[in-house]
Amino acid sequence: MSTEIEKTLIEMIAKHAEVKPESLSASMPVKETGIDSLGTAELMFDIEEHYNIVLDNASELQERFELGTIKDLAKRLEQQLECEVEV
Amino acid sequence: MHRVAVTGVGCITALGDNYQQFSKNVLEGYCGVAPVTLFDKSLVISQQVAEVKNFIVENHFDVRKQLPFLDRFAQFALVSAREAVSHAGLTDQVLSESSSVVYGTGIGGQTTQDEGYWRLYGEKAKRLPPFTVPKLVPSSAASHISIDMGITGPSFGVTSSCASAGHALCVGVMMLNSGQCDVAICGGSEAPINVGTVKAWEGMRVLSNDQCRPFSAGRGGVILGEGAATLILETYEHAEKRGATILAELVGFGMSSDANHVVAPIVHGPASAMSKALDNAGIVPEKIDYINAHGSGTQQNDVTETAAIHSVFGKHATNLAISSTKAMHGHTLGAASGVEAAACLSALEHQVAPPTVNFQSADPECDLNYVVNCAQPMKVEYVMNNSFAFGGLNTSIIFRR
Repeated sequence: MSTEIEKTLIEMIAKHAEVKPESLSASMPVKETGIDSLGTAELMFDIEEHYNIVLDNASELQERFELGTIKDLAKRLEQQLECEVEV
Repeated sequence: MHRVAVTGVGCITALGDNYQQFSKNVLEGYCGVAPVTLFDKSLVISQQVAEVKNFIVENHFDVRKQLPFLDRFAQFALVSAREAVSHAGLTDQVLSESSSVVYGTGIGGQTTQDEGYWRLYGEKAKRLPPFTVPKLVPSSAASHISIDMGITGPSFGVTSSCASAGHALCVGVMMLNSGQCDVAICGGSEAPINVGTVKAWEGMRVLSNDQCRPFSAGRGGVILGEGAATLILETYEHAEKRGATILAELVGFGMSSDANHVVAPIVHGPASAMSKALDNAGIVPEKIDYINAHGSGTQQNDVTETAAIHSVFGKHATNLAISSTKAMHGHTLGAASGVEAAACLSALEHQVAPPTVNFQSADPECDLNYVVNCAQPMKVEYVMNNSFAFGGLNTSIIFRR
């Protein structure tokens, strides 16, 4: 069962990878979705806009984009949102 | 020194989105000036502008792969460059390493900058879109043309305010003569119809509130225009060898600086550019049939340019035909010399001097043979294209049929 964040991420990634959201699942590694570096930069912008956050620790995050699954990315975001103080 | 052939031209302005349409409109005296539609016109006092009409970006660019990187000025540059390259019949093999791109703009990606500032300071946004920087750099027009056409020769941007495209054409000739390339894709582009830029021009108190009326009594100043024009310059031998149609020859150019004042024009700088162009072309002043003047429609420019033409051409000054086509397509700033080179090519092709529309009555200080309101059929062998920028940066270019 996908969390709300996972669902939102799947929608966003599908848009930038130019694939149907149904073709993606949370267990899929982000880089296997077909999203390219241009799409990744736009995805990070969309995440920041949507959640009104600043994605900190860019290198760690980059690693998630490179190596992790959508679920990993969602978990990482969830942690940031939990301790996020309105900036 | 190589002879330099013009083998292609592309143009997108308020007078149409291609050269043929531009040529027809510029010779028919069609005025492309209308109230601004690109933003809420109540935000500015000077609401009359010369916009590119019915420009549907999706018809020209990949929405995902290209548009995020293209400011409006670079979009115009690319559209006009594609037309020019196609007009010249250039193939990918010819383009690649033997070509270069030299492209002018006065203000570059100001639409992007304006939208960004509005987000940051108006809407209090915390971030800007990820490709803001590559969109706003003035060299992006040159980069995109190079990428779009696979040109691996030297490519760069040129900026000198309202003479940018003129300097780009002059540098293009120098590139051909230095052996850097056989084909130089040169021109200029500008997209100044955004709130911040129009307000900045308003601040200078040089914008007209109704029409641009160059050399006319009662002229009220500049009308801002947007667009781009691209010329394909090629060594004559190269053009002949590949069997290209030669539209005209760029026979001479002159560049000079006033070294005087940031905005006030003086006679000697423009006169020097015109004299150098004549020397460079190796012709006497009497050879020039038509001048497409800088003719911005400000009080000072038009009087100063008239005096400069008197000083260079002597008695012939009152014989040759002069017009400013800015009254029709607006002042396209960094694109102006390119757009007006396109008007010169139309004059050569059709043997007609384009008119200065919106002319009302003579100004005693502007006493030359201006072609007013209606085009004038005439013999046109040599034409001169003048651009005199703020900061006293001047170019004058001569084309021959």
